[in-house]
Amino acid sequence: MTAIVDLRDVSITYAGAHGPVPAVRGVTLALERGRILGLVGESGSGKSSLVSAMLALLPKSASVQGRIVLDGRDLYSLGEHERRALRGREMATVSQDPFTALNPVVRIGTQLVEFQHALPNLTKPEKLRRAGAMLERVGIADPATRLNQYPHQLSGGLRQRVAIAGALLVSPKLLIADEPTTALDATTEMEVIELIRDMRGEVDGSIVLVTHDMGVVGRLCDDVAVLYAGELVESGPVDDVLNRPRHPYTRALLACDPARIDTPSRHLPTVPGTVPSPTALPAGCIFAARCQDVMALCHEVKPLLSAAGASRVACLRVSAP
Amino acid sequence: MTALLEVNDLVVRYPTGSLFGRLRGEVREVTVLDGVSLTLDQGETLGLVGESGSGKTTLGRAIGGMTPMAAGSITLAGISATGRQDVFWREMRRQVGFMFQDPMAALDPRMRLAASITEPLAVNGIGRTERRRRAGDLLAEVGLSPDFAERFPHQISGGQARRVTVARALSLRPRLVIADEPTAGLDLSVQGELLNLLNAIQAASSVSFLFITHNLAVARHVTDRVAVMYLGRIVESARTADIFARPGHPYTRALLSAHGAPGATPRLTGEIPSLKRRPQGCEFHTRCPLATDRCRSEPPAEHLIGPQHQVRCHFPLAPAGKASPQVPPAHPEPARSQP
Repeated sequence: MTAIVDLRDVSITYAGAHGPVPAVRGVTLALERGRILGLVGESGSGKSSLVSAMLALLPKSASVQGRIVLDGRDLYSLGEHERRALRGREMATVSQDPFTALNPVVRIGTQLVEFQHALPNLTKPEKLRRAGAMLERVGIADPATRLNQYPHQLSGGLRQRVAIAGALLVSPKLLIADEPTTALDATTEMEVIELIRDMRGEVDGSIVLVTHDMGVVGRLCDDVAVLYAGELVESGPVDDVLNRPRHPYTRALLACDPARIDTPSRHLPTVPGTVPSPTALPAGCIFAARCQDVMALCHEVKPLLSAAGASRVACLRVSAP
Repeated sequence: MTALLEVNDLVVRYPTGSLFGRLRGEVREVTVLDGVSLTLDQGETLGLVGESGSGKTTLGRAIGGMTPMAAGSITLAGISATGRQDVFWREMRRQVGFMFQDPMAALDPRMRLAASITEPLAVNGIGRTERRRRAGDLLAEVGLSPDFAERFPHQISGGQARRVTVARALSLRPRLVIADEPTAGLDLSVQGELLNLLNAIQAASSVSFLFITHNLAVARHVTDRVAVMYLGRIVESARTADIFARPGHPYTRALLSAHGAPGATPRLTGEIPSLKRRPQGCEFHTRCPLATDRCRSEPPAEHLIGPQHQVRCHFPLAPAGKASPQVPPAHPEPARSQP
């Protein structure tokens, strides 16, 4: 299989006021062509940093170690100019908030034409025609009217459809959807999930879905990568990770999801303890302090990602039971 | 047993239209809540669910006296209010604690947490020394160490900010806490910790909760009863187990299926209509897969389809596979508030 995006031992370090902050450490992950990857983890797990690194959108205070290879090109050995050319051409995003992603004072049609700035061989009327056709494809009735409207005239669900249409107009190799349904109601959320599933053929590469909603992952993704405190702790096919989680953190996280608990209960499970600060990391396993199955060795030896069934898991109990 | 809170035929209208229009004396209003009635017992948790724009937050605000009512009445712990100027509001508000949607926006960034937590006490004339002591107690109650008293909101995490808003909501020892989306945006394990905290507080003090949420998975675990809102009306209310096992309203079914509940369910299409253009007849008919001509012309009355189980629908759904039971209306359609 060919990987569209290949992350090799990627670490991201921010320059903090009190010294460097290693927000992401040693993530190795391959995104296969034609698949949807769910990137899950709690706040502070490094999902946003990792996604920003894939888009080469990290702030200047951040430095990236390791390699991020997009369709054969090492993103961080390219010059800024070449990298910039990739964004909006081979990479596109759908952001969390459809209310701020679109410019409120520019008509939808104009914005969708601008989204195609990286397609130089088309004239403006052609781009507008493509925009209208794409709106129709994402299930928007009466695209001609919509093209002339402003974002505030559209509901949240429609705006997210417009944002998805915009991202698909350039047929990206990498589409990153960052919490695309968080701001939407449950009924609208389901429509947007179905839309992404229906439109996945338009992406000539892979889709990354950043989310903390396991229900969305289960309904949309092929693969999942679970991040904890800046490290990849488990990755694999959705069915394996969600139904047969091997890492204790994945198990604990899934156990906390009220939607997965069948019998109503007033006392909900939690993961005791807190996430370690990236500036005070433990010597051994990153999850050892909160782990239910911790061994003495876990505090000393850092587990490496190793194959377990179809998944990869960073846990000593899995790699050296 | 008398209810702690009783809301009867509550109507809330917001002024709308342009400034010029209003200056010319045109009165245009949009009806946000249209005849809402509910009861809540001491120590009970009522979940208020529905999509954005359904009026959940407005209902919570109206019960706390923060939004003027156009008609109807609210009775809390034996005190009744019917309008904004009511002298009873001040006494009633002491009985209600609020947890607002966005905790970071709800805390003054320039106030130390102790001052934020005890501001309701200051409003009620309690002295500085006593306030400081109570701040420590309240922080301990929500599981935060005493040194949080001197911190500012930017120095705490989102989960901790929620705990601070819980402490403030409890500061006057209210009998009712209105929690507006108390776990929105929290990580799963932090969400569990906060819900467990609310549950422990309720077990210790038998405070009642009005729990506003759009997360049905959470509502299923932490509420005793659920009221489903649509376009400013309660379209179904029942004990939590009944809502999930035997939803009677097509809208409730659609919401449940959107949350991944099993079972073949009618799909919901379209968007929630604008309040300015309320549909005729049953207000849900524009999106209802089962709508008939009757639904398009005649507003449905409230039907009792089980114990404490009320549905505002002409054709309440029976448990899967069975025909609809013919149950007469629980009470006649309440008079519309419009003249």
